[in-house]
Amino acid sequence: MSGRLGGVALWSLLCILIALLSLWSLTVGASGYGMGDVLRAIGSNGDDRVALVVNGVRLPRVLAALIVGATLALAGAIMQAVTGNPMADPGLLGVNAGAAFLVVVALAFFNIDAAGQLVWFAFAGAAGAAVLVYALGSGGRGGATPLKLILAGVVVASFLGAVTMAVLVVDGETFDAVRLWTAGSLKGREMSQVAALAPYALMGCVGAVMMARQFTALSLGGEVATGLGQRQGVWRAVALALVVVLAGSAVALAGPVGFVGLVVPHIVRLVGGADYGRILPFAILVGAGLTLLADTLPRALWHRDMPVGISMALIGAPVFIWLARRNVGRAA
Amino acid sequence: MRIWALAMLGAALAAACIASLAVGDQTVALGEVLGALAGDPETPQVSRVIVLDLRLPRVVLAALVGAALGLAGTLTQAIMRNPLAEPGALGINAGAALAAMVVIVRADALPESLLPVFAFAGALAMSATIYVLSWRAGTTSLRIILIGIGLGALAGAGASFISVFGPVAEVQRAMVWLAGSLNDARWVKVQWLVLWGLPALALALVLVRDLNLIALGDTVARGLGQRVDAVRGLAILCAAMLAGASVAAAGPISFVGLVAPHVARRIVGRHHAVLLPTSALCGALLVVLADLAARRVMAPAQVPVGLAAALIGAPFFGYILWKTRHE
Amino acid sequence: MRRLLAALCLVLLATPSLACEGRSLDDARFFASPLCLPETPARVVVLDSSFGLGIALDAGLSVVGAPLDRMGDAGLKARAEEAGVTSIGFVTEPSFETIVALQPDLILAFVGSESMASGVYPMASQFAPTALFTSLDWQGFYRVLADISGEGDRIEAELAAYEERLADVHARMPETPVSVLRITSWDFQVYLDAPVAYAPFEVMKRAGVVRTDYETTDDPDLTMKRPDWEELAALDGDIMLYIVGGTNASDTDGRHEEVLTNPLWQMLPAVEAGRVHRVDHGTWMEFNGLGSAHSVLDDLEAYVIDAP
Repeated sequence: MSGRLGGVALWSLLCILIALLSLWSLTVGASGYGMGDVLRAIGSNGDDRVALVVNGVRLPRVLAALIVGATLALAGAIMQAVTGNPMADPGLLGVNAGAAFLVVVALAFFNIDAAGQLVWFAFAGAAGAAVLVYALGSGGRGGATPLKLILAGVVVASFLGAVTMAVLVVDGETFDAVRLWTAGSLKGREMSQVAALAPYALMGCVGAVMMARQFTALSLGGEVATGLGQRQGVWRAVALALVVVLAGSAVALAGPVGFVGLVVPHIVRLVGGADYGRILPFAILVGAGLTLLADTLPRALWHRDMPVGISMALIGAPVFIWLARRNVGRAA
Repeated sequence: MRIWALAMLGAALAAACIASLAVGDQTVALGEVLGALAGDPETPQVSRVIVLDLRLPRVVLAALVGAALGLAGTLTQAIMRNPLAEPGALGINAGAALAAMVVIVRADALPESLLPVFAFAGALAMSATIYVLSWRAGTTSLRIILIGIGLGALAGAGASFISVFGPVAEVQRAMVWLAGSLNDARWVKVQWLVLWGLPALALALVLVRDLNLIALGDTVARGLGQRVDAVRGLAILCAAMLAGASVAAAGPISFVGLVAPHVARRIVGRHHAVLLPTSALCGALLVVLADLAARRVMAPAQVPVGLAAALIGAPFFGYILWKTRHE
Repeated sequence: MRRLLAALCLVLLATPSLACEGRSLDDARFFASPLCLPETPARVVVLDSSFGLGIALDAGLSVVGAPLDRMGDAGLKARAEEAGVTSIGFVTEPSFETIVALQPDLILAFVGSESMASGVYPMASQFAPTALFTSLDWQGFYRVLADISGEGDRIEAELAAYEERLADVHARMPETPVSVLRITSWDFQVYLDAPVAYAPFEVMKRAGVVRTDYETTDDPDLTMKRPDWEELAALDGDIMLYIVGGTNASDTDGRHEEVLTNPLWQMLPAVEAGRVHRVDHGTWMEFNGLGSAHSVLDDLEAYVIDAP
């Protein structure tokens, strides 16, 4: 196959596609500005209404969607490699729930609302939940089988969800403040928030792509990986750190958005095979594009501002169910 | 040893119930509590109303909800052959929750007295859908669980959709309901719970031997003549009825269905003839204690009973997992 | 024969409808009406801490219990405590034990919807006759409560005075479109001119205030919209009234300043013309009866009618 070159060409094409998608997304909004207005306004320092709306209201939202999609897709791909579980996803394995829980706690009890500070709570929550899920899922016979991990994820996610809900029920003000965010929403994102979180997201993405070869080895299974000379413990820890940074940034920006991390790696694998050196870069683009589409389409078609978490669940859950029917053959 | 443990459990439950009857926002002396229960005409009217019309239905409902959840959890873990399974994970709670949200938020069209019925129907509909979707020349536990999770997520998205676009006051009330609460405990709810729970209980007792068998694995069970798919279907139906009935009565309370069977298994072992009743007792004890804590710990603020159950159950759960990690 | 018929008629007409020994309230706006209430209730428990409590106190009912915990409206809370009202907890989770201990002979609430009423009624009606008002007609609620408390004449006079003032304000109200915005720490809220408008905004509507298209609706389910910075431009009234603070910290945590210095805010027609006024959260967001209605009219007179 024309291998590397074909891959690079495809990737570049995809980049252009995403850019066009972003431009289209910038034209969607209540003020009815067309493509011409948008093109003139982007990046300009103008203080006329078009420029303010495009740069201050719409652009942050588009950038946030891209970041959230890319980071979650990467996090999912990494989790699937490390756990050997094709159904792993930061939402399903409780990582998102952990991050969301600590963010809500920070908002309700410490009155912190700067994104740059909240993100550290998100990291801590994501890390705690991931460790908890892994510990829970590895107990008993057979270690961390895919099924046990998923169940552990569900248990932890529902526990954290219950505690989060309890905090919100008691503190009505925080409840209204995060009403949309808890469903996973990009509404009202500001450039300051995007700017505060972009560095972490970037770090995570770059780190992930650099470790691609290790993930390929890990995804081939424990024994093969050790046979290839990999020090598994170290790389699993690195993988965990990356997932925490990636998912934590996404949750701090948009709240818990599930299923991106599940669906995107599967789509990409259809094209890219099992080589994480190809999967990861494509996952970034496909994740970004899918999330942007999920966020923009309801507004464009039905003039309804639907939280992106809900749109992704409505797309992703059927895919999950389809995967479950297809992948699971024999009796357990 | 077992009898001793069971007796202790029963005594603990009785003590928890008495404690729950004796403690509340208004101080009622223990003598008056016992007098009210015994029908003593000397007891002041106010105390009698508080004990018999407020606290007693609440305690009874808590115990029955706990028992139902314990049973549902045992059934689920038996047929899924997995100690981490619980009715909540199967999306049953999500289905009931979605149905309930629809009623609460769209309630100008639907009276709230239909709430329990809708929640119950939602739970049953969800489990039927799960079963149908996981059928592919038979069912496997893995597929059922995964599809349950997927459908649960879908139902959750639906409920989120309603909560975002629904009127704020109704939505906040729905959120309180979703957190699980025994505040609105009335005898009519106990009646509904018994009405839906008794057939399910009967079904569970009939399935006892099959549950022991299915634990050995599909191939072995089939080899011994069991109709594995039928048993799984019936057990899911039973669990859904029990879980659905308890959600209808008290909102979704997770964790009880997970923890109670574990504690019961530590006490009496794996045979379902004893495990089922013990699970019921453990579940009842857990919820009665949780409700007591939920009412009093942060009085006068009320903590949702689901959260209290999770917080009380989690350490036990962790301890048990730690102890059995090498099994 | 005629005497027999007469006697029969007398008996038939005189038979009381199944023994309500108090006052019978047959009003479709109350849940589960007709209800049998005590003739002169002496111990009333109110289940909501805004409309119900305020109007019950105004109407002269002897209120013994209401959910005073965590009440946002400090003025009303003080008034209630002074009147000897015991707190029964928080409005979404009232303590029925406390209610029972207060030995009420009537339980009241201004619920505003059938659905909310159906959630509360089964529990409350076990302990005392329960009257839950499901309509949004707060003046009608005044009249019913005044009837129960026996102060019908005084309340009727106050309501008549209010209606007179309302008509007067309406006559003097200019056609200038007015926008009203609530600024919270996390978003913007616009309470609409709608069939189910929140009371202060219903008062505004009846006072003849014209609001922008964005702020007006016929939708029977819509009370409030939450615009983002882009949609804010739709609030293009010539006069802008805005609310900050109150039950959230938007007046102290910097949000107020952040909004006022934002160019998109400064581009609003009302702001450019300098016809922006801050109004009180208590008046506009914590409606509790005639007092609040009059305060709304005060604001309208000051900022819309008499404004330069």
